[in-house]
Amino acid sequence: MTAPTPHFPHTETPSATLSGISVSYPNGPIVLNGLDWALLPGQVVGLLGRNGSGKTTLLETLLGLREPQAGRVELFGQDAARLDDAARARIGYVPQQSDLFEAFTPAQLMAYFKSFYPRWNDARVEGLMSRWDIARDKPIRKLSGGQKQRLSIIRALAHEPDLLVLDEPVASLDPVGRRDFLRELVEQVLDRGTTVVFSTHILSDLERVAFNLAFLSEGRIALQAPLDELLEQVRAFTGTVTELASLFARLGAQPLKRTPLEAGRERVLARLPAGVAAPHDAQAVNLEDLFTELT
Amino acid sequence: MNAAAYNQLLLAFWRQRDLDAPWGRRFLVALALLGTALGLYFLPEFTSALLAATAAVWLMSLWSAIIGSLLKQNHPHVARFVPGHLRQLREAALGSWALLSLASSVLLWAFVPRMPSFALLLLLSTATLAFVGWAARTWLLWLVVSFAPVLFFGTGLDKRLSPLWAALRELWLGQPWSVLALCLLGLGASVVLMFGNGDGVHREAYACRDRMRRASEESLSGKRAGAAALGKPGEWLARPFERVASSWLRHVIARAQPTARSVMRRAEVVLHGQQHWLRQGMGALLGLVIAVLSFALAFGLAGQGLQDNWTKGAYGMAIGLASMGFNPSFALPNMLWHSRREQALLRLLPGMPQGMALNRSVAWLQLRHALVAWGVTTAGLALLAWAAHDLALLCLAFGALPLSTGWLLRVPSRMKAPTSWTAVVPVFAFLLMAWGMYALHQKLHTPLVLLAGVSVAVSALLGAWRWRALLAAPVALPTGRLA
Repeated sequence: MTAPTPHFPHTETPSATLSGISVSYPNGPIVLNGLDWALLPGQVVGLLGRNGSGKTTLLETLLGLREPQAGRVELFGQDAARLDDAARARIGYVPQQSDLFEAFTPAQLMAYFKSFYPRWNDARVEGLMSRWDIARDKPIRKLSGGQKQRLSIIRALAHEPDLLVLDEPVASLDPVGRRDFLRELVEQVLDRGTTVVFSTHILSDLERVAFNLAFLSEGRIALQAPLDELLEQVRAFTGTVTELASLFARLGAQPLKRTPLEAGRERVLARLPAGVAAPHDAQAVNLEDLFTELT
Repeated sequence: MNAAAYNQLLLAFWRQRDLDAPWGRRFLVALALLGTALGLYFLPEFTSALLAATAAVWLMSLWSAIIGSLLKQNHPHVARFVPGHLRQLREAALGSWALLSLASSVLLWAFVPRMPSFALLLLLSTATLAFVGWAARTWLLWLVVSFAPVLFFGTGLDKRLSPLWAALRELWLGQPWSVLALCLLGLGASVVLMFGNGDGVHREAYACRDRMRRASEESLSGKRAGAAALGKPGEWLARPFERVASSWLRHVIARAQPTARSVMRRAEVVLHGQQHWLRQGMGALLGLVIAVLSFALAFGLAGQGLQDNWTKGAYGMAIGLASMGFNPSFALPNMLWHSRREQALLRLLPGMPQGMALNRSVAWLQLRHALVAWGVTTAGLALLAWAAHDLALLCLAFGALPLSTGWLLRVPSRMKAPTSWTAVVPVFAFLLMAWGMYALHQKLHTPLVLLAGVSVAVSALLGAWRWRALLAAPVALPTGRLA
């Protein structure tokens, strides 16, 4: 048995770069507004945002499926709208809707996609199909929502992509399914150094797997940082405007979100510089607080 | 009685109409009004009879809409958990059934000459409305209506059962009102029984109807659903189709090459879904086989030769053949819209053409299919025209050609969501053009060769103009959720 070939990043070229991206729907509001974002090789990023904040639009734009009104998207250093075959073979995508290709059976779906890719891990596909209890010859339209989603994930992992984009991949999965999926994801990252970006609302999963969090708010990435750093460095402060201003100046803290309170006081979520100890009256925040405040 | 609650139930069909696609509905109403107006113009001596018959048909259509909506509202969960809902549905259905059948009977009896007795009219209209309700619930009843008369008369059952008919007739003539009352009771009970009480059988039947309803709504916007939408009988019927489609998929995958031609051959399986040329071809073949068998059976049982009917029915058969051959091609752009979510994955596949190359590939794919379908159908029409000694039937082919090039080469990325209106526009346009050419030939003696030449020239011009616009479009497919 041969040891798995490590595929850690051998380049510092970002897997994906989005510069000044603006997207709006016809007669609709602006969804992405001058957004800048970069995904480095091997990074695992959890994309967080409220319902309708534009996560799916962002991921579709990142993949070159949606043409922005302004800005530029590059994947592996190429224009996302004109990717060559080699670059496309390095991308795996799990769309939000998993009820696709309903006329096919899972076996047909895998054979269909395999016919396009130069690399295809049959053993992994077979293993996951049997482990995740997916009937090979049952029409996809007859599978449950969770099974369809698992099938979609297997399809995206089968060609061992270097960039994996997952749009709410665990929405229809039960806790066991989510655990299995996260295990596969971690293995993918550890074995191959795959860059992963996935959107989700299930915060507990992010705490288990996402090394980086990106918060999408008002059409921009409001904040992106490693999860551990965020939990360690972000604190909630309450006080008068002047008190907090002088405190932040002294600590070198970066205010992230201000919430006015009564009597000239305010509650501010701020990020402390690395190595600076938080004052004892500052409140620690959890991931749910961060989601609520920053999106 | 809470009138507001009954209003809510009975008017739901109108309140829930598709406001995004009003033109199809308006067009049908306009067509009906035009038909009535023409009837009144050409048959002024039958004005009252015509108006009464039209009103009766409208009332029956109203029943069809109401009962369809009431059955939709009879959701198993609501039937089980909302107190009084099932009772209200039954009362609303029973009331509207009684009122509408009575009104249509009165109209026909009072204004249309040579009608049978009022009792018989009432029996017929109540039975018709009850049947329409049951057929909305159980689609297989339409099959019974389609084939039963042929089998019934063809196999001589009418003669064998004549003693029974005679006895029933005797009974009716002897005691018409008692028999009518008994029949109305039975029919009323059948209307009440249409509604389920939320048990397992109801849940299963409702899910099946819901699947069919969605398939029917989608088909209005050009998305052809698989036979699986008809439930288990549909799946059983579709099994040979699925086997052939699977064999084709295996074939194209086994011969996959990293060439644009091979990639597009695999892509079209997904892009056109149920409108893939193989499925279209099989559907047309099945339709032809059923038509031939039905004709053979009907004429064979009736003891008539085919030749005479062939000649007389050539025009109707030509329209049927043309609809079967040309119409599916007009739906191809709509299928591109309906497969837009799958396109997101297709566009990321290695080998898939990009930009202008994809524009060209998709356009050529559709045009090729439409032209092949046109060629085959035109050959069939020519055969029909030759057998029926009426070459003007070829006008159907001349009318379809410009639509094939003009409609299919629209820029998909600028498409709006198809509606029932946009789905029927090319079909009506095709019929209108064919009818116009037929009229030009028959009334003004325009030579068929000239009509054919004009059709080809217009098609070429339209095609060239559309092709240029299509190649200049930045994106070839309406990929994505909301594109």
